[in-house]
Amino acid sequence: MSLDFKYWIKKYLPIDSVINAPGHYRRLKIYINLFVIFISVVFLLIILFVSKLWLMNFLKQETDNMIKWQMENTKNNLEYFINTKLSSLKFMLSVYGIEALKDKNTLSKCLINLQKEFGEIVDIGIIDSNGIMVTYDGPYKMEGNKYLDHEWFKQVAVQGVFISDVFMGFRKLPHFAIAIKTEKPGPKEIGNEFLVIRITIDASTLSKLLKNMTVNEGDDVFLVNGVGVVQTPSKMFTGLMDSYLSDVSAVIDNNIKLLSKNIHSGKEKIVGLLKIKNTLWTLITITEPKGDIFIAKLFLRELLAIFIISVLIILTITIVITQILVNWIRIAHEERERAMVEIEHSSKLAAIGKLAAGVAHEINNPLSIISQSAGLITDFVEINREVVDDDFKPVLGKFEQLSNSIVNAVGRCHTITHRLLGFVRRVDVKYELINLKDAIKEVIGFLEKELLYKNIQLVENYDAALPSIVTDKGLLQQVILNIINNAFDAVEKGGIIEISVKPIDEEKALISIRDNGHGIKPEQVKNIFEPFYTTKAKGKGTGLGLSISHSIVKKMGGTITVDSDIGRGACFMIELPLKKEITVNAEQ
Amino acid sequence: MLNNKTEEQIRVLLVDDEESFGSVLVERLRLRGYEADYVYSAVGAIESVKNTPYDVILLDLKMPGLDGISVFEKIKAINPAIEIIIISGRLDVDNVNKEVIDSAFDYLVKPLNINEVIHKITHAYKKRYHS
Repeated sequence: MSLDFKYWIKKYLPIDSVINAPGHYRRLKIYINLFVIFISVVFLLIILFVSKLWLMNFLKQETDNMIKWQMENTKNNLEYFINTKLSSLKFMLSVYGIEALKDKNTLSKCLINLQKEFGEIVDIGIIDSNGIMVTYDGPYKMEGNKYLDHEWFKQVAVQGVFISDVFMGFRKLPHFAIAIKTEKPGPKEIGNEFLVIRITIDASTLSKLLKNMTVNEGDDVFLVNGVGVVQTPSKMFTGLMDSYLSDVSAVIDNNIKLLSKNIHSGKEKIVGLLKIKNTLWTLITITEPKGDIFIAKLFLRELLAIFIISVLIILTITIVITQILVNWIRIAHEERERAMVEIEHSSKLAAIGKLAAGVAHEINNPLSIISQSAGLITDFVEINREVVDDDFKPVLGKFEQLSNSIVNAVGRCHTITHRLLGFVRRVDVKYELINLKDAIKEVIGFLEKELLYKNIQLVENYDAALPSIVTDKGLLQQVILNIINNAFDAVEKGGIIEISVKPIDEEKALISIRDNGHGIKPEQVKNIFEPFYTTKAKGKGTGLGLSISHSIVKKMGGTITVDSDIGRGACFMIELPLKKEITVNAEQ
Repeated sequence: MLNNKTEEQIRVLLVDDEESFGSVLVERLRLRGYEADYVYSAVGAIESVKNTPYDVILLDLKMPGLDGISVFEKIKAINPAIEIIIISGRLDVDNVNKEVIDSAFDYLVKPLNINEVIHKITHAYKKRYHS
């Protein structure tokens, strides 16, 4: 499938069909504006979207790193806490020896020392390989308690070290135990192959260690055991975290696992999971993503502001440029239209002119026959005047009179054909030296009958100092005929039309044609030389006469202006250069 | 009489394809004392010039058959002394071959005024014999 841009542009930006419809320029403006704005806004939205995406991603990375760092720290603290206890127990064993520790006094001494070092130690006990608490020191009565069937005892017997879950146990207080196994030196007795030394620690110390990490209001941090039971106080969970069991068991040592979860169907939160070494515990953090925090909102708000400002700027520029562009198109289009009409009009006139010329030429031949035949009749009358009878003389006189009127009529026909040819329109301006007065008189000669019929008085003023002028006679006559014809339409029967011709200076002449008709409204004066502008009744005027006159005068290097108002009549003034450089013709 | 007959008989040949025009004009010329003949074709014109020593020829340039310009040139070839006055129905005589116009004595535009015709013939005759 090929991408045919022209087709798509035509389909969605229908400039051609718009131009030819009424009210098209306004619609074209709307189309272009919508098109450009749509494209710009789409691109801006893409930028906005990508920026937001990038920002959210960046903030997520940032949050993740922060969470990882804090979890790592907390884990280290927890491990350090456990390790110090284990080291102390090992140190005790090496200093006192196993047998000495069985002695209650020694054990008490040890507990005091441990409590001095770490305040959170609750009690201490020695259990033999049969699982019986042989020696105990602490606030409770535990001596003789049996642990053989307890899970922790089994594990410590196998692994050597055991850190228990948090449990209530006999004491009904949350606590957890750390136990290490030590082999007895020398020969082994039954039930006395090894000893376990166990200390119990207040579980609230764990909470204290975890509290260092909690950052925000909605965040949570706690420990769960290997089967997902919450070990330290949590804001969100109590007891078993069944839904997270699979996640908890999937955590590998030393690897932080981050998940996005909806906690209790609320907002999405980041859940971090990390195993604590030597224990069955998993550290869990629940953190609010930073996308919702202030900085992200601020950044997005700024981005939105930039977006709105950009859209406004694009909107303004687009509207202004479209206005200019469409105006250009309109002007070019109108000019083309005007030129087309002028061409059409002039070719029509040229055709009519050619036709008129042909008719005029052809009519001359029959006119010649009429003229010569009538002439011959006159000749006969002349010859026979002396020889005819007196009775016949009046008839002869009538003959002569009639043939003379035929000859005269032919003469008039000849004048008409001559004038007709003089008005054959030429497309190019052809300059010649002419007498303005004669040229105007010729035009008036053409209109004499109409003047008489309409009873219009024509006043002519020719300045005696008027020199000859270099111009196109035919075109000038066309302009003057046009203006006088308009004046005919404007004046009532019995009106007055005044034609004055005078030189303005050494270079220009002024022809003014004034009438005392109904005048032209000021708003009409503004448009009077525009093509197709007419104030005449429908079908009476084409609205082209004055527009063509205007372009002709302009072509001849002159100007045409009008001075008029309602009820005051109108005065058309044509200023023409007296000497036109005939270089154009000479070149041709 | 229409005017005094000239002492010398001026021989005029009218060449025009429009018979009703030519026959009338030639009669009017005869009435005025000219030894005038009329032919309506190019071939006839050339024959007549060969046979008769005309003084002046009135020649219509627009004719069927041979065009007026060829007739003009042929006549001048046969008898260069003959003065030719061109008559034409067209008003734009300027558009006709300029050389023809220059070598013709003058031209007249239809419809003709008889006095003007007489005037031109007289002048052409005078030019031929007195210049």
